[in-house]
Formats: sequence, structure tokens, C-alpha cells
Amino acid sequence: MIKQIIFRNLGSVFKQLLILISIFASASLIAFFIKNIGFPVINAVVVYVLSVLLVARFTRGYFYGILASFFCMASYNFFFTQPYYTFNVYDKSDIITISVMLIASILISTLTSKLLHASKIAADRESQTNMLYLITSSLAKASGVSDVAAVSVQCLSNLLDTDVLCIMSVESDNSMSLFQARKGDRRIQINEVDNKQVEEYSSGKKVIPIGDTNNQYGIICIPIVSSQESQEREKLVPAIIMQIQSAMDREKFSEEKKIVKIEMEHEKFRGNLLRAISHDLRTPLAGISGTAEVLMSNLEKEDDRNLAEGIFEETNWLTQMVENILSLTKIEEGRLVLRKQPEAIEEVVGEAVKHARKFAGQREIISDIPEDVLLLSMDGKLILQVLINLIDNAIKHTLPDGIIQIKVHTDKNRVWFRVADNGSGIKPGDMPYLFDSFFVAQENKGSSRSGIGLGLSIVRAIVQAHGGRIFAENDKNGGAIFRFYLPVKESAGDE
Amino acid sequence: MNDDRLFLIVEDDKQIRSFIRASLENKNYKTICVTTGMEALNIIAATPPDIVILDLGLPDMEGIEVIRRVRSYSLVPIIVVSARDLDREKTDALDAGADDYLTKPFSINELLARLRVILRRSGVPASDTTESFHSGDLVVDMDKHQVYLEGKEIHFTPMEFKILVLLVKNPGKVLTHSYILRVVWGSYLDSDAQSLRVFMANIRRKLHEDPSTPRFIITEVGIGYRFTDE
Repeated sequence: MIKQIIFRNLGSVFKQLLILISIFASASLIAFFIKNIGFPVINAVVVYVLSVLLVARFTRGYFYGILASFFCMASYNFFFTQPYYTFNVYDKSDIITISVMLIASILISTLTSKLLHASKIAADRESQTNMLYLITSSLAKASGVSDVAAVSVQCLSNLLDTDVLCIMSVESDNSMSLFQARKGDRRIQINEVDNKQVEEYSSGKKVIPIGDTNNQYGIICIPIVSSQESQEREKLVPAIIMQIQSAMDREKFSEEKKIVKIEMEHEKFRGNLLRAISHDLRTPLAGISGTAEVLMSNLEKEDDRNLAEGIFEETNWLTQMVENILSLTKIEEGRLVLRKQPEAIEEVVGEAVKHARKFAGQREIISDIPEDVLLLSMDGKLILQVLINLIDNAIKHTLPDGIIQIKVHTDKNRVWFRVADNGSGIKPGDMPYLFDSFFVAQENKGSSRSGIGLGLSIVRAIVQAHGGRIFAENDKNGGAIFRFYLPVKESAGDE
Repeated sequence: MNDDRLFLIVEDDKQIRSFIRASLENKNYKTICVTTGMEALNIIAATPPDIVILDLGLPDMEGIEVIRRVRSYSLVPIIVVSARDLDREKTDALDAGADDYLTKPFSINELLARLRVILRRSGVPASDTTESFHSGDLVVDMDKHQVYLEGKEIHFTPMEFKILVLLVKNPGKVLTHSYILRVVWGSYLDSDAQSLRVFMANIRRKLHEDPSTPRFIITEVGIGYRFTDE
């Protein structure tokens, strides 16, 4: 490798020297010709200066120009000043000529070299700018992260004139894709690879990561190269990698945005559907239950009246189910908007008890509320639903002559509500799952009208939305106790 | 029971229309059924009914719009029956002039009970409201600013009396919190909503009311209050 470099450099030096010598020889020939036909010898000076300019133009660096300047000075001195064919000078003016000639030659050669160098840099810059522009515009056209990767390897391969690999991790699964651009081939190969293959592909190559530490998209592998030209071009690589990264960022964000938009539309559709269903179910349910109710009083035979009553009860159960599912969907969609107002606790509890009595049969419902008026900021309708659900639950789990107690008391900054019954209580195994959606106590599974276990999860969601908590426990004397508290805000203190 | 009072049922759902009609005809009331808001407005203008049962979701116009138009020329009692369970809509309908509101599905007995309360009021001439009001044990003497329960006089503060009179004058009608505040307080602040609850609680204590078994004042949580003389 090193030998090769030296050899190549030697070749280059040899070539430069050849240019130098041929130009110098031509200039000398012309100078002799001028001298022979009898023109003033001073013209040879001009020819030599011209030759130095040409050497500087066609060789690289300052060295050959300066070398040519000395050659020309020596040659002029040797061939064209008296005494001829010696380096001595008789005429003092010749010394001036020779010195001026040397200084002029050196200046001209260095200036020319500088100019050449500057114009080369400018040309390089222009081509780099063009290349970057080309890459930027193709990256801008790419859509999707993998398209960006394909465009990137293609551009880098064109720029560096070599094979380029890009390995991208795929987010959805843990696989990786390999984008491969071969030198001089316009097609990109895309393969699925695993970790082992990645190591094989990247070994012995320069590995450049794309992305920052939190957001790693993948790596780009390029062969390690040594030619000066390639090294020059590789200086562009970091800038290009930055471009690739920002293109990938852009594509990733737009993909994420697209997903969010799709999800939002999906949610909206679901919401509209549920609203439509809720309306379209309520109306026929109202029709069925109302009709059954009319039949219950109109039919003459008791058996028929019982049938109508069955329809009525089943419809009510179904209605409650629909309402519960709708409430839960609202809560889960985050659409539970609290319309808080100061409410008198006695009104809310009273209303809940009044409502529950309709379904309580012979059960006794006792409410124990502080004599002082107690105001609390809450969404009255929702807390009413909490209490109704808890009392309904107690009704379901007590015998027909059961007792249900509702008690309200306050401590420093909380109002506690307690619904207790003397029923079967909560099975210890059920305790952890009590407030989960669709959980139904073991004993009730298979019974037709047990519900689908939404009541308590709705209760918990509403209490939590108010900043409170709910607890369930068993009474030592039998029966279940549900307790929840709501925080007292400054806006609704005790009266 | 015989009654020549006329009920207008405005409902686009056939089944609901027919069972309301059946239960009213059981009680020997006369009924007219229509399915659109436009027909309802025409009937109310041409042959004024004694009570209107109105569905909010009509095919041709919003039920609230029907209430507003009816209220521009008629005081006929309106009971709203709606499948939509939104507090905002409830308050809007009541504030637009509806008397009561039932959410579907509703119990027909509940509807009949509320109709009875409203009918009793509409049978009383308007001039009577300046004198005294009797409901079971409760007597409210509007002139003398006195309240009697079971023959005993009960002391009411002027503000409590104002609220009680407002409720008593509108039996069966749901009075929204904001309506009561507007009428009794004139202009009001949000903090007055709390005071209203406290006044109501005091009135309830003076009338020996248990909110879970109310005799006179029914709470519509989140909406307002309704006086019943059932």
C-alpha cells in the first residue's frame, strides 16, 4: 500500500519534471533561434520568463516554477551572456538583467501557482455545493424513512464513487433492513438482516451513526479509502449525514403525525357512532318499556300481565346496561367533563335514595346525613350516579328484607360517603378486581341478570375525576361497605 | 274519570307515540298526535291543546325552536320527552319555557303523575295566585306572607318566602337554578348559587321535608327544583 503511494507519487514527480524540462528545452531552442537570426539577445529573457509562466501553469505547486526560474537564469547566463559557455559575467548590466529576470520569474511563477490553486479551490467548492444541493433536493423528495435511506446510499455512493451500506432498525419489530448501493449501479438492494449479518457487513468499514443518542435511526457504512480525492470528498460526509438525519426526522414526524391523524379520525368516528347508537337505542327501548308498562295495566289476565312485566323488567335492565357502556366509553375516551357546582349533599343523597327505593322492594334504606347544611363542589349528576350505582349494587347483594345504610360525615378536608349493607359481603378473592371493568363476582357468573361488571368501574372513575378515592371492605358483622371521599375545596366550605 | 282536556303529542317515533296515546286514552283524555314541529305549531295555533308532550329530536326542526316559537304566543304547558341526556340541553329547554323534562326511557306512570300536577295548576284561574295556596297540610297565604303547616304557623324569612311562593305558583314546573336566581335575586353572582342551596335546605327543614321522600319540593340534581302537590 505504502509502496504504491510512493510509486504513484514518484510517477507524478517524474511527470512534472518532464513538463518542466520540455518547456524549458523549447524555450531554449527559441532563444537560440532568436540569437542566430541576429535579433537582440535580450529577447531571450522574455522567452525564458514566458517559459517559467507556462511551467507554473502546467505543474502543481510552487516548487517547479521556482526550479524553472533558476534553470532559466543559469541557461541565460551560460548561453547568452559574455563570456559564452561560462557562468561568468563581464558586463555589469547583464548582472542586473539576470537578477531582474530571476526575481520576475519567481514572482510570476508563484503568482500563477497561487491563482491556479485558488481557482481549483473555487471549482471544488462549486462542485461540492452542487453535490450537496443535489443530495438535499433528492432527500427532500423522498417520502418515508426507508425512502430517505435508499436515496442516501445512492447519493453517497455517487459522491464517493464506492459501495455504500445503510442499516436501519425497523421500529415495529426488532428486525433491521439493509440498503446497499453498489458502485456504478443505479439499483438499490434492500434486504432484511439480523445482528450477526450487520456485524459482517460493517466490519472493516467506516461506520457513521445517523441520529442522536435518544433517537438512533441506523448506521451508514463506507469503505475506508486513501486516495486524496476521496479524502477530500469524505469531508462532505458529516454535512450529508446531517442532511440525512434531518430528512429522517422530518419523515418520522410526518409518519407519526399521519398515525395520530388516523387515530383521531378513528376516535371521532367511534364517538359519533356511540352517540348515534345511544340515541337510536334509547328511543326503541323507551318504546318497548313504555308499551310493556301500558300492557301491564291494560291486560286482563294475570298471566299476560306477568308477561308484560317481564318485558318491562328486561327492558329496564338492558337500558341500564346501555347507559353504563356509554358512560364507560365517555370516561375511557377522556370525554368525562365535570360540570362542578356547589351542591347540597342532602339533596344529592336524598335523590339517590329516592331513585333507589323504586327498585329496592322490601329492603330498608336508611340515610344518615349531618343536620347542618353541607355544600360541596361537585358534578351533582355524576355523584348521584355513583350513589345510585352503589345502592343498586347493595340491593343486588342483599336478601329481599336487607338493610342498606348511607352515611355521610366530614373530617378536616374531606367529605366521606359510606354505603353499607347486611348482605353476603365481598369474597376475599374478588376484592382486588372489584373496580375493574367487566369484572363480575364469581357467585353471579351465569345468572342472567347479573350485569357485566361496569357499575363499580364507572363509580371509581367518577370519584377519581373529582380528586377522591373509593374503598371497599367487609363488615365484621357481615355485609359489604363501600366508602369514598371527595375533597373539600375552598369554594364550597362547610356552612 | 271523564275529562275533555286535549293532549298534543309531538313525537316522530311511532311506538312511543302510540303507547303515550294509549295510556292517555285509558284515562279518557283526548289526544292529537303529530310527527313534525311545523304540524305542532299549526295545531297549537288553531286548536290550542291543554298540554303538549314534545320530543326534542324532531325531523324538521329542533324541539327547542318549537318551544321558543310556542312561547311567543302561548302559555300552554309543555313537557319535554327526549332521548338525549345532556344537562345543557335540559336547562336550555327549561329556560326556553318548557315546564318539565323527562329522559327516555321513562316510566309512563311518572309521566302521568307529572301531567296531573301540571293539569291541576292549569285548571286554576290566574287571579287566584294573589290570594292563598293550599296543598294538603300546607297553606301559603300570599297576602299576609304567612305559611301554615298542619295548622301551625311557620316563620319564613322574606327571602325564603319569596322562593317558596315562586315554587308554589309553578306546581309541576321545573324551575332551573338560574331561573330562580334571576327571579328572586334579580341580578346574581355565581356565589349566589350556593346561597340558593342553603335557602332551599332551610325551607326543607321548616317544611319537615326529607329529600329522599319529598312531599312538596323535588330536587332535580344539577338542574333545579320542582314543586309538587301530588
